[in-house]
Amino acid sequence: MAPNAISAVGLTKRYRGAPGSGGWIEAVSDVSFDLGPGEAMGLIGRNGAGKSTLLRILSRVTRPSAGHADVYGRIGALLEVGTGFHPELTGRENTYLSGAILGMSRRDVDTRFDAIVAFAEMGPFIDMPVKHYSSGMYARLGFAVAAHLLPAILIVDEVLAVGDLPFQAKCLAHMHRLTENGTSVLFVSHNLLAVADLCTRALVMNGGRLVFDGPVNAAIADYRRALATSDGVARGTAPTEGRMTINGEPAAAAVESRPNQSLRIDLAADHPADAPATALILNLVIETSDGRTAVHLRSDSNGTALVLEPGRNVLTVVIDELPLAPGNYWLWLRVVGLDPRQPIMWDTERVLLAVGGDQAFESVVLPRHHFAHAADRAAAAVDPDG
Amino acid sequence: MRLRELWESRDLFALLLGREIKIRYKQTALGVAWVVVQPLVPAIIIAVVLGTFARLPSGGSPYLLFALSGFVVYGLFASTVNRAGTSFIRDGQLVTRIYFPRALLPLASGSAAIVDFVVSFAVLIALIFLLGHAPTAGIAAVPLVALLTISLALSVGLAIAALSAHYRDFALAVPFALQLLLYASPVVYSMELVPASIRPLYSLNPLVPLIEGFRSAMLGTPAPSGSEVLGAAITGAAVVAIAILVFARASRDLADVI
Repeated sequence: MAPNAISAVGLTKRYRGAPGSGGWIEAVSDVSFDLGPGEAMGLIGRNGAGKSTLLRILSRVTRPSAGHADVYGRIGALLEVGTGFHPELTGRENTYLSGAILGMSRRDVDTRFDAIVAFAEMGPFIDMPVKHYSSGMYARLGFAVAAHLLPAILIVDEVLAVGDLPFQAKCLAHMHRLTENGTSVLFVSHNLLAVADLCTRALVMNGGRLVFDGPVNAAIADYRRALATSDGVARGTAPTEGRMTINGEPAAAAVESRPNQSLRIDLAADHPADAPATALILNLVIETSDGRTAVHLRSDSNGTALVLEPGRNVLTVVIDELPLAPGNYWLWLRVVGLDPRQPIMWDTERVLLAVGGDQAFESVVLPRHHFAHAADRAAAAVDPDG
Repeated sequence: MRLRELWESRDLFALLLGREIKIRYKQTALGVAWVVVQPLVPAIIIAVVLGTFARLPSGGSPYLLFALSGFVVYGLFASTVNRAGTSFIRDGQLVTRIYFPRALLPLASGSAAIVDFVVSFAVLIALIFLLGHAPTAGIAAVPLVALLTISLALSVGLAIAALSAHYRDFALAVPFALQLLLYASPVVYSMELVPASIRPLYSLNPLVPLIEGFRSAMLGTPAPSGSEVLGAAITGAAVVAIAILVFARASRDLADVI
């Protein structure tokens, strides 16, 4: 059996509390997990959950107060973009400096320099002081250096958020390739769909503790449930209880699908017996990982009038073929009540829709298609001049 | 173990050193001219005030050369301590974001002072010839003096760097302490002026034979005595040992306190 890349046992980090309080704050409490070789693992949790502290312990920036982490192989830690960059130095000088700080020898950087510049799309700007760079260029070069570190274990904190969307996609694809070549990745992001895209497994942290360790979709579902119960934010007034079923199954936090499959969503809603019948509009929204709306269907757009009657109602939306490209999406329903005396605006839980498929397409939709080829040798043989 | 880690990080050391040197004079109009001005101007002032006005003894050399040779060694020490000692505070972000052998940062920052030393040394030699003198054969000992001075300064700088990560007081105290050290060393005045009764105490300052030895090598002034060298060697070794222990202890949880 291959050894683990990281084996963490009982990691704990305490900081002294406010002066005079005499107390200690536990940023990370008794966290244990294993990371396998070539495994891509997400780490999710709210701000202050202890994610960054855990990464700092694993990358040896700080020592744990208790517990220990065994790390097998070189760690490349990207806890910020452009580690060690100095504004007065050029991109070229900073590439060598940052590379060395991250653990590359001068010779490593020499051999990978062209690849780094190409990946970062720097062009001639590489010989300009980085203080003149845009934040996007700065982030691209910073990530490109770290991406070419070729560590056994790559630790990435929320650093992709600074780049633009095509670059984020490129970074994710690059990390995906690294895992295929045996690099283990520990990835922290608030972009849950990016975590779902890259990782097979995820840890959820809350209040310094590890509260979930398992398949990525289940982890995201767990995290979202915890968010919904703890943040106390009312999502609009809901005079009705709604239960969603997808393809006949009670809606779990994650649903798997394939391109061009059908999708049926039922929303069972109990309306109080003494309440008046209410006209409403049902919306189905599907969003991509970068927040673009991929699908938005409205019940009134093709003239369907929906009315919420007292008692049990079932609202249904059926999509015969959903031509979404493979990837992860958020799906939810929005109920809008049209009664001016009692307006309703209510969203269901967001469900992770994981559309399976081998290839990661740039395209959001993947219609049924085929390519063809025809040739006419005789037509091409005709000499136009004669 | 830790020495091996340092050795394996020599590329990073070289790059950090290069960075320190490059950024020092970027966006300055005079650039390297500053390196020449820094020791020369105080040496001229001292030569005028103490040499011409007060007519203090200078071991038979022109007072300008006498003072400048003192400032070259003292400057190497002070500049190294200063740069190394403030390195963690200046680059705290680096320490909290990434692991690397912590000692590298003060060592590289402090070593950048060698550039200033080489330039001011060249200025001194030029002035020696300009004033119609010539360095003695003792000039061969200059690399040794420089090496001992910078080793001493780097050790002190390491300790101050780690301590000032905990308490900024240490960084604030450095310029003050260096000022005191200037007056406690034979930089602007000659050893002849130090009363014989306090010489043993005075010679515990490890900079004393370094400055005297350098001056003797360059200008042919009297060399430091054997007992002076021995006393300074003992205190110097003690300072280095204590400083390294302090660094090892105080640099353990750097990222948490910086």
